[in-house]
Amino acid sequence: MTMTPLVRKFALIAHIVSSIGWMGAAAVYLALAVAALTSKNVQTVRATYLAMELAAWYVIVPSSLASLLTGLIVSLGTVWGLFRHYWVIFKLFLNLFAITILLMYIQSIGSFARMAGKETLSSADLSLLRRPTHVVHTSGALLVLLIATTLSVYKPQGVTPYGIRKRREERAAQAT
Amino acid sequence: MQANRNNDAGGQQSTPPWVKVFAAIAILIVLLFVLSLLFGGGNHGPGRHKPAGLGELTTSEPVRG
Repeated sequence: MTMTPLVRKFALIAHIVSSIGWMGAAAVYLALAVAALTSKNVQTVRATYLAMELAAWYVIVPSSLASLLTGLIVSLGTVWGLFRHYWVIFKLFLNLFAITILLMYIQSIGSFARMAGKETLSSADLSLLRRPTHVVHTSGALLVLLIATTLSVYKPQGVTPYGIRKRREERAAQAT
Repeated sequence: MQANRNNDAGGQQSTPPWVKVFAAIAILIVLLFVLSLLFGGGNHGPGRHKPAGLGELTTSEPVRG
């Protein structure tokens, strides 16, 4: 099913906004994670975890799911298709992989935020809060999103066997 | 439409080199991920990253915010 140009542009805008929004939120999250890792001020460490939890649940997760949903709509509603071009398949893989890791990781951030909100932190608590896991995960996510964005812009050549078959079927249908 | 550039090839195409490279990297990443799940206590996320023993680490010197 191919969308009308108006609907296609609307879906494309929604996909770009959600995807780049996800990337921007991840960049902010990385800045907070670096601050939590490096700051000598305990209040800063506490505050960053509270902000990170909110950003994760209310911006990063919704924008990632919106990116996946709008990506499916854009691909299925245009000539690109979902399984016709290799770059679309790789983008889908990257998106699903990033969301899987995100949904697994997100469950731990609440625990870190609760620890950061404790009235008294032991030095052991603080050393746990200064683990580099958040920086590592967010850097990985940004790399994945950067690759996905690059694929979207360059659209490297390569049609799948399914794409070739569908194209032939369409041409045959047009000829008859 | 730019899609035509990729679609117009009529005959069977060989898989482009970049696809092979990306596929190899993707397989490697998935393999590493699965191995980390299997040998990392079967849990990549909360089990590995959640602070252990919330409220139990009170033997160290308290740090007030």
